[in-house]
Amino acid sequence: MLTHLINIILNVLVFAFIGFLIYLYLEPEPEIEGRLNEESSEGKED
Amino acid sequence: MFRNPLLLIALALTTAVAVWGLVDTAGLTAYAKASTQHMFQQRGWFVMLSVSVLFIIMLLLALSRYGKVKLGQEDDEPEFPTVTWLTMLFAAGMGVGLLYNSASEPISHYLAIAEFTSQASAKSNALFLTNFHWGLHAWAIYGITGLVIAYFGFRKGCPYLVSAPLIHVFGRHRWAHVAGWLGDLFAIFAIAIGLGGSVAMGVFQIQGGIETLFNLKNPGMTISMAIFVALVVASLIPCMVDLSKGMGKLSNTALGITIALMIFILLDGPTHFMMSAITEALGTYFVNVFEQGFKTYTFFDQRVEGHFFSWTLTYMVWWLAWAPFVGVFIARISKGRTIREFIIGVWLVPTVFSIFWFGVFGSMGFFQAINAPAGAANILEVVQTNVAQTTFFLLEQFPLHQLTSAAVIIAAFIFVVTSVVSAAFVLGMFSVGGDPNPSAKIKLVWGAILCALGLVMILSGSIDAVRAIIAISALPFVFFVLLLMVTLLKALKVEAR
Repeated sequence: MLTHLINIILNVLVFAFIGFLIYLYLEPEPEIEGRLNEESSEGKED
Repeated sequence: MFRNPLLLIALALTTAVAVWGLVDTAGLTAYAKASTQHMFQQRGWFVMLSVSVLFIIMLLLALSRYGKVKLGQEDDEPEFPTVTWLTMLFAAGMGVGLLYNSASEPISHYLAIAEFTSQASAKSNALFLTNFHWGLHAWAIYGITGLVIAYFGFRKGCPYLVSAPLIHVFGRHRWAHVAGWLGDLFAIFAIAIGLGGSVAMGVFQIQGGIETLFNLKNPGMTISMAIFVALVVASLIPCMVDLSKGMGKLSNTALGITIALMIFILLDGPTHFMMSAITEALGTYFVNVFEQGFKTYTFFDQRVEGHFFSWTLTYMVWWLAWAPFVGVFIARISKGRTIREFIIGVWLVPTVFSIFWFGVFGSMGFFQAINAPAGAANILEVVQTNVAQTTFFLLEQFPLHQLTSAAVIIAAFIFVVTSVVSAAFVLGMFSVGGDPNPSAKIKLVWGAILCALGLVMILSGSIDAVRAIIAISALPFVFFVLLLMVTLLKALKVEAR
C-alpha cells in the first residue's frame, strides 16, 4: 500500500516535471530575455 | 576547504556509500539491484523518452539556424586541430568499456536473443543492440551536457558547473538556485560512483588478461588487489603534481593502442566477413535507431524485459553518470567550434567509430563461434564463464597474441588511470564553485574516494552489481540534463531574435 502511494507521488512528480520543462521553454520572461539580448548585442559590439 | 557545504555534503554522501560497501558489500549490492529493478520497472519509460528527446534536440540543433552559433566569441578559433579534438573527446567518453565489451557484449546479446529468432537474425540484432548502446543516444547525453556547459562557459562567461547555466538564465527564481545546487551535488555523486565502476571494470579487464596470459586458474582476490594497488599508486601521484599535459598524451596513447588493435584484427582476420558485418550494421543501425530509442518492451515477457533493464536502461543511466564529467571535458576542448561542428564531431564521429569497433570484434567473435572445431574452446562458453577474458580469448586466435594481450592490459591500465586523474580534477573543480585550478589537496581527497569506491565495486565481485550501483546513483541526473537542455534552448531562442 505504502509502496503504491509512493509510486503515485513519484509519477505525479515526473509528470509535473515534464509540464514544468514545457512551461519554462514557452513562458516569455522579459527580464531574462532582456538580459540575454543585452549580452548578445554586447558580444556583437566587442 | 571544509567551510564549503556542497563539498562537505558530497564528501559525506560518497564516503557513506564507500563505507557501506566496504562494511557490507553484499547488502549494498542487493539494495542497489532491488532498487534499480524497481525504478526501471516504474520509470524506465521516462529514461528512454528523455534520451530520445535529447537525440531529437541534437538533430534539430545541427540542422537549424542555431547550428551556426559559435561556442565562444565570434572571432574565437578552435584550440585543437580537428583530428586531435576528435581523439580526445572519444578517449574521454568511452575508455576502458570499449576494451571490456568489444566482443563480449554482442555475444551476450546473441545468447539472449538466439532463443527467440534464427541464428542469423540473432547475430545481426545483437550487433545492432550493441551499437545502439554505444551510439547516437549515448553521445546525445554527453553532447547536450557538453554543449550547454560550452555555450554558457565560452559565450556567456559562466563557470564550468551544472548549476551555472540554470542560475544565469533563471537566476531571479529561487528554485533555480536550489536546483543548481542539487544539480552540482548529484553531478559530483554520479561522477564519483560512475568512475568507481570504471576502476572496477578496469581491474576485471586487466585481471582477465593476466589470467589468460599466464594461464592462471581461479587466483581469487590476490591479483585483483595487486592490480588495484598499482592503479591507486599510479592515479594518486598525478593528483599531487600537475601532469595534465602528460595525462592527455597517455590517454591518446591508450586510444592509439586500441585503434591499432582494431586495424590489426581487421587486416589479419577474415576481412571480408568483418567488413560485410560492418556494412550491414551501418545500414541496420541508421535505419532503426530512431524507433529503437523509444522501445520499452512493454508487451514482452519477463526475460526480454530483464535483458532490457540490465543492458539498455543500465547503459543509458551509465552514460548519464558519466555525462557531467565527459560534458565538462568535451566542453573545455571545444572552444571556437560552431554548434553544428560540435554536434558532428561529438555525435556522429564516435558513433561511426563504435560501429566499426564492435563490427570488427563482434563479428570476429561470431566467426570464432561458427568455425571453432568440435571439442575446442568456444567464445560462447568464455562469455558465459568468465566474461572479462573474452577479448583475450579472441586475441589468442591471432598471431602475436601475447603482444596484443599485453597491449590491451596496458591500454586498460592507462584508461583507468587517466579517467581517475581527470575525474578527481573535475570533482575538485565542481566542489569549489568552478575554480579551474582546484588545489592538490582537494584532488587527492577525491582521488582517494574514487579509489575507495572502486574497491567497493571490486569487492562486489561482478559487473552486474557494479552496473546496479551506478544506475541507482546516476538516475536523478536525468532531470538535470533535461533542465540544462531547456536552458540552452531558451537562451538560443532569445539570441536568435
